[in-house]
Amino acid sequence: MTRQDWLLMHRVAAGDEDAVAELYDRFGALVYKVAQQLLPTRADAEDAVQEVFVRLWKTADRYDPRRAKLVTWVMLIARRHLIDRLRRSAARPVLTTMEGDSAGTQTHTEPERPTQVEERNANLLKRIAQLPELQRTVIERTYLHGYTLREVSEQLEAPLGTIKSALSRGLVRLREQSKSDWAI
Amino acid sequence: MTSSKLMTRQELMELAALDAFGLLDEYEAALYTRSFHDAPAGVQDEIIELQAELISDESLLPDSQPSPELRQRVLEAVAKAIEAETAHLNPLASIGRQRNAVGDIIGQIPLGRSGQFWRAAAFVLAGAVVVISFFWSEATRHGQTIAQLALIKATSAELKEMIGPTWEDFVGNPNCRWIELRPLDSRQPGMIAVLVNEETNEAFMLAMGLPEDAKPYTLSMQQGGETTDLGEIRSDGLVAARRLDGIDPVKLASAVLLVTGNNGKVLFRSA
Repeated sequence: MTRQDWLLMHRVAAGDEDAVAELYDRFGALVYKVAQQLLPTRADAEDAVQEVFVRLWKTADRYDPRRAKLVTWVMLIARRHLIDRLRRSAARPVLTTMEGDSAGTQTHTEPERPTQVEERNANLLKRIAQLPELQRTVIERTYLHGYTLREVSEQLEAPLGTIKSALSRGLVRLREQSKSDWAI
Repeated sequence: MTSSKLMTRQELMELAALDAFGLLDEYEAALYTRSFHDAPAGVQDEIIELQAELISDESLLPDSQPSPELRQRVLEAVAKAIEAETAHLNPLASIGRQRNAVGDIIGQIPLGRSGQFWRAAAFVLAGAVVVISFFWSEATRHGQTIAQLALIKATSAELKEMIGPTWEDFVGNPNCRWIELRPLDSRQPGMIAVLVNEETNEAFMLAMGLPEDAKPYTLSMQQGGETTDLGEIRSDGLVAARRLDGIDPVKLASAVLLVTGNNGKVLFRSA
């Protein structure tokens, strides 16, 4: 698939409409799901998907199949775009330390509408709930709210290295859970 | 992870998830990429697989589907963005249209990012339709980069005749590196690139829009104060290409490449 993927992205870079359609057919649903995971409404998610594909066209010539599979590249571009969008909308919640104090440094004052996002992510949240507290908190804040590791480290008043390994272990553990769920 | 020492295999594996989700900061992401490229192929493959698995794990994502109309909206949004970029460059493309131009065939190729342009052009060449010349006009003297597209019919058969039947495989190979040579004088028409594949030890020189000359242009390589001629190329003003035989691609990639005209003057140079 590597060579075909590389050629596909060069056709996308050249503005070949069929190639853009093929890219959407392969990854559109996945990109939409991530957008739904992070953004409050369906309309927001659909707008974001359009923007992501424009961004994929603009960056298509940078895809390097020796560095990552195409799905990884597409999802990386998508997540970066969605997180930029979240930051621009300033709709992220004011988060606290694990002890409950306000993190104090947040500029995002509008509370997020939690219900829709949480409903959509119910399965994930259920699985995250089984993780140790630090892993759970770090995953929620980085993976679902788009905070950087540094921001989470400040919010939780914990060393960056600790946050990093908590997140890494948490994500791998979630993946393992998911594998064993499939195996059942 | 504050030093610039390359990451170990264990660190690479530990941070693979963060890298895939774009959660490393800029410095660490750059260090990760450097360390990745330095790692043995087996480790690279393992990381590539792990990252793809993690990032496409749909069980971590909401179970919702986009509306069927979204596909059309996405295609329209991308088409609109392409059109906007093309429109932005249209005034440039309409200056001094060249003889034999066929105009509308390649209007879809976005300009402005030359690497992308070359790849797009090569793709089109490999795909059999069109040859492009791309040059800077007088207006560059006024501080603008003016590009002109002149479109000339060509066939893949002609190109294959010039370079050989392996051209399509070569240009489609992800290991093919592009070395772009830039004109020393902004009024110099034409573009030149050297394409190198370090795995197959093949190299090609490709020129577009280089003025026709009875005498050939010479490609040479400068390294450690020594200059070695690599080959000559003749241009009919449109497209010219040739295979470079007996070249060490590693040396080629690290050397400065020069193209001189028939009076010995250096016209193009690699970065």
